[in-house]
Amino acid sequence: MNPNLAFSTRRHFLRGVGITLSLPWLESMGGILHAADAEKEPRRLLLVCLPLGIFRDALIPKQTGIGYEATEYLSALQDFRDQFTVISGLEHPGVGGGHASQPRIFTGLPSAERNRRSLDQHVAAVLGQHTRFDTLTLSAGANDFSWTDSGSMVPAEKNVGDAFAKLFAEEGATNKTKVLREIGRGKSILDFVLDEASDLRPRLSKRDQDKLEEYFESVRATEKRLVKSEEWMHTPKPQVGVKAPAPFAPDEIITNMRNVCDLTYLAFKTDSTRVITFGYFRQDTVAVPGVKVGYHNLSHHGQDEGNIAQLKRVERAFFDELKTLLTNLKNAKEGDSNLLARTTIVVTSNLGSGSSHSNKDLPVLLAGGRFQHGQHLALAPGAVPLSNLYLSVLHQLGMDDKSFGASTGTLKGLELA
Amino acid sequence: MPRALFTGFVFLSVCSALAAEPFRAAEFDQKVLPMVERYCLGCHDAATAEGDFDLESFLTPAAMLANRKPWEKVLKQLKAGAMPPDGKKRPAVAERESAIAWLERALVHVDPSKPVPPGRVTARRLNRTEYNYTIRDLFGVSLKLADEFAGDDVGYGFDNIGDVLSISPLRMEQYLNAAEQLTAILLGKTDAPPYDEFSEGVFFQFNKKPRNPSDRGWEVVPEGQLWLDFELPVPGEYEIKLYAWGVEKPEEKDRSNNERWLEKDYPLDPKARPVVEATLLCDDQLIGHVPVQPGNGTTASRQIYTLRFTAQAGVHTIRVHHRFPREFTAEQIAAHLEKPLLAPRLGVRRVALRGPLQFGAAKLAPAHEALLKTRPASGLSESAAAGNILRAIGDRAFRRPLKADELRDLLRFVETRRSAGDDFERAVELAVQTMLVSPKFLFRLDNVELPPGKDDIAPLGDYALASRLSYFLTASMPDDTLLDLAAKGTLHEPQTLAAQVERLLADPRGAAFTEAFFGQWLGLRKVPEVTMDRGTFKTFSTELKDDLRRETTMFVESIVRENRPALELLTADYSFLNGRLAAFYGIAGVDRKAEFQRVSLQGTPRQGVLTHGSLLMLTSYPNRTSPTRRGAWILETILGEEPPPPPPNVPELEQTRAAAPNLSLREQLVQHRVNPTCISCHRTMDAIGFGLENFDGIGKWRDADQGRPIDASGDLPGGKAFKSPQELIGILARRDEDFVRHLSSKLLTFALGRGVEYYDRVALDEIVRQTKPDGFRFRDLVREVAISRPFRFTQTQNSDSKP
Repeated sequence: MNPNLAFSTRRHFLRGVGITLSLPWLESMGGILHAADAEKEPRRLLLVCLPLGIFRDALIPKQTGIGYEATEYLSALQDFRDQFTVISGLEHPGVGGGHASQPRIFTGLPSAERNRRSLDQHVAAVLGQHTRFDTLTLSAGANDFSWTDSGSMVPAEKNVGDAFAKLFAEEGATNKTKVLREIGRGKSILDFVLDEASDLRPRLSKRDQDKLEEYFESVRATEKRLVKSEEWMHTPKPQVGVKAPAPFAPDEIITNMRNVCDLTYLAFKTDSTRVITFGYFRQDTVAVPGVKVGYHNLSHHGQDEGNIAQLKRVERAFFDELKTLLTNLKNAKEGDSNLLARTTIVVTSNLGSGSSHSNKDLPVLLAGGRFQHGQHLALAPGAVPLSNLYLSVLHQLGMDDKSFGASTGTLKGLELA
Repeated sequence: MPRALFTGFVFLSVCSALAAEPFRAAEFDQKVLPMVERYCLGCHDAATAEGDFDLESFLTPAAMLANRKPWEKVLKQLKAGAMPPDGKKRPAVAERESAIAWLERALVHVDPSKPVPPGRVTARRLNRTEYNYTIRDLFGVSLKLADEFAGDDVGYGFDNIGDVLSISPLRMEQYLNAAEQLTAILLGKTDAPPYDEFSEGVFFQFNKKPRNPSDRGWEVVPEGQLWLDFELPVPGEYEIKLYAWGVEKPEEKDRSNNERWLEKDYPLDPKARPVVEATLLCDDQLIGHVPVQPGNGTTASRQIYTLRFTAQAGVHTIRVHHRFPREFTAEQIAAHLEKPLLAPRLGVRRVALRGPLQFGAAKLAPAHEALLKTRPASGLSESAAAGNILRAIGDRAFRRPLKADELRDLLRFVETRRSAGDDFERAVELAVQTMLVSPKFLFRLDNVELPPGKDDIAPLGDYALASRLSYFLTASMPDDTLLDLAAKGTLHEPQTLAAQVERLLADPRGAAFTEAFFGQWLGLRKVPEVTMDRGTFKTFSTELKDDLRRETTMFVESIVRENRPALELLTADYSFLNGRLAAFYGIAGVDRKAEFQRVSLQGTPRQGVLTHGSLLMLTSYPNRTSPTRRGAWILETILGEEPPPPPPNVPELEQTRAAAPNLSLREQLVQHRVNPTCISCHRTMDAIGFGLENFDGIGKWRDADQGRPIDASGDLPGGKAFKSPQELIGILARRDEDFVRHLSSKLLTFALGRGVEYYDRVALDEIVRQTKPDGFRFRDLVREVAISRPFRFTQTQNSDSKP
């Protein structure tokens, strides 16, 4: 029996960043007082991975270009046909190993290298400046996609209820001075260890120093967050007038996905963050009508028709929820535009085929943002790194990187609107 | 292409046999270079570098010895016969085998004119297990704070590898949170007691079947006992609440406890005479006796009997015993025991524990005691008091004495906090938190202690050695004995180390070694996650899975505890089974309700871990066995001969099956590997796997699969034929030195927290040599690892570049 540590800790603000001075949501949203106005046109990024692959025939059209015939999954998104592009043939060169490729899907670095610097964490350094949270890593079952510059995984907020609380929950009548004093104490601890441990450096080998550098980087990043949270203490958390998601059973993958999509929408709408990442996954059985076999086992369908039919139900549920998210974003006006037009969405998988665990020819759905959409961009498999798309996304987000991951340039055939 | 070329996976490891012959690097030009130039460089030259693999840059003996990793890949591909790929020109058998034999020696060649490098272990962050156990031993608590942390990175099959364990900003926050929770608990200033748990009476274990069970509890008969384990996080005084009722004249099938009746409440008479008593114990320590008044399952929610007791942190068995009222005479009791089912009963609804309410008389760990009780007083200045606390904690938390300048800095920090307005306790508490998030606590910095000098190789400091040994065998910080030996400077002496190995493995904390090592080497940690298709395997259940895991766990524990020959892992003719498992395995003579016990497997087809259901299940698909996975698992885990990954674009077995649905699994697999590139590895993998086909996907014995008799015969390259699982295991067991060498390299990896390098071959040879005369006993292997050169020595920063 585990101890139930049911006591409050004073530094939980570190995760929750601050308290709320409850302004009614409508007022703050109606007046659009949030940071989005600080810039003329805020840009956002959403990365989604389905680490068990996406059944190819149900996603990738047979025809290329604009006149393609919608496949089963794409027909679910038919209302948005001119707001997404489906891309085939991309891959991450040098990335292999079946499931082992999962953490590299948004970094693009070859398996032989240390994994680091995922797209979301990279853009967060810029896009995160104006929001309470630099990035959010959520999870509809999978969560090892986000990596810091130094190569540490940024674990996801696995519980969507906790994530909701972090974004929107008030912390009662918590005394602001007290929290600020705690922040001061936290900063003094971190200052001290930075200073005190620096005597180690000259005595360590290069590899030890690299490890220590990772440590110091984490301390500095935490300190930065303390400073940022100190600043955000003076800004009330947004009120969304929505109940926190109710608890659900682990196998309710659709509920999980729906909650994560809703939270994504609310987080973007309230400008709590501009960068979100999550994965859609479950190892075992899923509560999807008509599905009896575990999701992972289904992905190894071995061309068995029964398995494929069940697999498609699980994946179709994803696309149905995605459609709701796109609809919500589209309907959310911001200035003279809407959130969908200002959010670049990449949906992909580290497996080109779940059945054979191939890491080639990865499926990509690119939606939103300011691209010329509406086509199936089919590339010769193996010729173009997926990182080229990421570089195009970076440029579209207003960043001027010369390269990203294993990119050899931007993605040809994908134009800005 | 002629069949003769594909001799298959080279099953006989040659390296040990030939190690004695002198090694001449110059032979590279005859034995390897011509073959590589003719068959490999077409694709793997610097310009093409197919598959990102460029061999051209390493084509001299010196370049090969300096860059062994690419050549290890070459060797692996050659041994597997997988390269050059199908359709390309391939070397003749003799040419290939001569190159393999030469490379096998070259790649473990260590220059005899120089000292053998001991390697260097990168600073290791404590993993979650180590963090929990370290906090436990430092402060005498059982909190498991690290269970909240993100999972640990895994390298070389283990979660304690310095090079891969990383730290992130989020983890840093989690360390801060954990440190804060911890000091708040240690100082007793949490808002509520840290432990507040209950269990319903019906979840307790019992010696005599309790009567009239319902969702509100059940009735304990005379001489009846209930017990259940509770894990208390902190030492101190706990409150125990017993929700109970007495039944003076019991009836069988008492309806007063069932649902419908319970809707009506039952009037409680506060003055009613107690009709029975309960005796409460924590382990075997009496907490007290309570007289219990009459009532029923419903009234028990208000019949709460509260006592207090003091306990150390950790798992305790809370016991509730039936007791006759104290006024009963011996004759009355004897009369009741004649007809026990008519005697007064003790109804138990719930047991709740909460605390600690105060630390009271509990014995605290020295670090906890100091933090809680040392305060400035007359004769003890504030700075002296703070110093005493910080030393008591720091000397242990940093696993070596706190240095004078470290103490000075910490005291200055305390002063700063004091002038910022914090009181003494708060200021010291924050200073303790700085220690708990310091890299000196969170990392094992083996090399910091080394004296600056010119030598490339130095013995590890005794304190670093104490940590190395302690984390190897207990996943925790060194205890006082080890720290004392380090202070005396004698720990590094081989006989001292050997004695400490014995001591730690015999210590209850040594269980951490067995769990972590076997859990990861054999994959036992993964067993709880296995899901099997219940439609295919009707007898599969979570209970079965737990039983099977328990079997293997108890088995490997006995190998360690009894210092059995390591080879018994493969050949033991005994195992540990309970009644259910014995029935599942079809082994007679064990009562169906029996607890786990040692059971002879003589006369059964089972022997060793390869026939344990846990591992057979782990290497199956949810709906069928996988000879390939089983074979690959044995090659990799047992013999250390990991086959290369399958080439891309191989058709799935399922596609083969779809094309020819009427074939047996064996025939399908044969069809599947018509591709000559595949057959080279699959021939060995599948053959080994087929040898275990008599065991189905969950490890149950079968003579037929879907109506076809099982054919468990096979032959391995080198003309080794077998007809049954036993014969296959016999063939594997004849490779005892290869098995022991591989096991030793796994132990060394786990002990050091780094991958095994070519020069470790020298240490591995020595371990094998030392343990051979006594039959490779397991604890002897552990001891030899602990006194090996890589364990006790390190390369200094002077020789920093990777050797």
